[in-house]
Amino acid sequence: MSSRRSRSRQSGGSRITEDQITDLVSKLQRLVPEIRNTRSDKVSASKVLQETCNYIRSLHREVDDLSERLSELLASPDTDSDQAAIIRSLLM
Amino acid sequence: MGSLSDLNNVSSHLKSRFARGFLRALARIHNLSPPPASSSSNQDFALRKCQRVKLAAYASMASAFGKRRVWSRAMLQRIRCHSSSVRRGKVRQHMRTMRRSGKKRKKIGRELAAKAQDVKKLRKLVPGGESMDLEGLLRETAHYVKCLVTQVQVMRSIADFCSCPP
Repeated sequence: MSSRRSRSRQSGGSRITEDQITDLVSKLQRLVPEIRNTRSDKVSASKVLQETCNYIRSLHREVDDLSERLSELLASPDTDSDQAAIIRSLLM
Repeated sequence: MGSLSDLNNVSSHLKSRFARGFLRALARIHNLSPPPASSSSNQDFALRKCQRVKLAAYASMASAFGKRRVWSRAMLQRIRCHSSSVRRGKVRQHMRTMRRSGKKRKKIGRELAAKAQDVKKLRKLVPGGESMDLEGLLRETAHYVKCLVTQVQVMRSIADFCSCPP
């Protein structure tokens, strides 16, 4: 796919085109569930960045919650290293 | 749908890499014996355990990429700093912020200048984001999000598995 070289400013380093940025923004859009299925011409780059920020924040919160859950499970005597070995083999 | 199936392929390899390191860390944390009884130190211990699990998760994910990505490099640096404060018993979050690089920000165009606020917020969320140019930031963000999703999936699977003993 040929990329049109649109007007871009150089700053002592590599030249970045608007098209490349647009491309990267649509790649991000495909990763974020909220806006994944919206047509890319209907979603502004600003919206993609905002939703990406929200998504990252929610993923961080999920990690926090899961860490808490896991640390409680580790405390219980039911969980043992055998289960860990089973999980490891299941995931291979 | 092409990109989604690519995501799945990358994901399963990444899942096992992450899971292996993370499970090893969990086993280590599980074997940590609690300090002699006193209710405040028990609470403290539980909180530190939770922090350890969280750090282990981020560390295992970042270790899968080591220095190859800006975000994983930055994350590992941050964790090294944080985990020593956890060991010293400080529960307060102590995240080192990356120093801004002296380089002038590239001005790409009118359209993108309008999104400066959004870019700023993104920089704060992605490890190492402060010192990257816009193109780098967008690439790193995409990779970081993919990895976070994988991390959450594996953590949830492990938690679900351990919640219902066979």
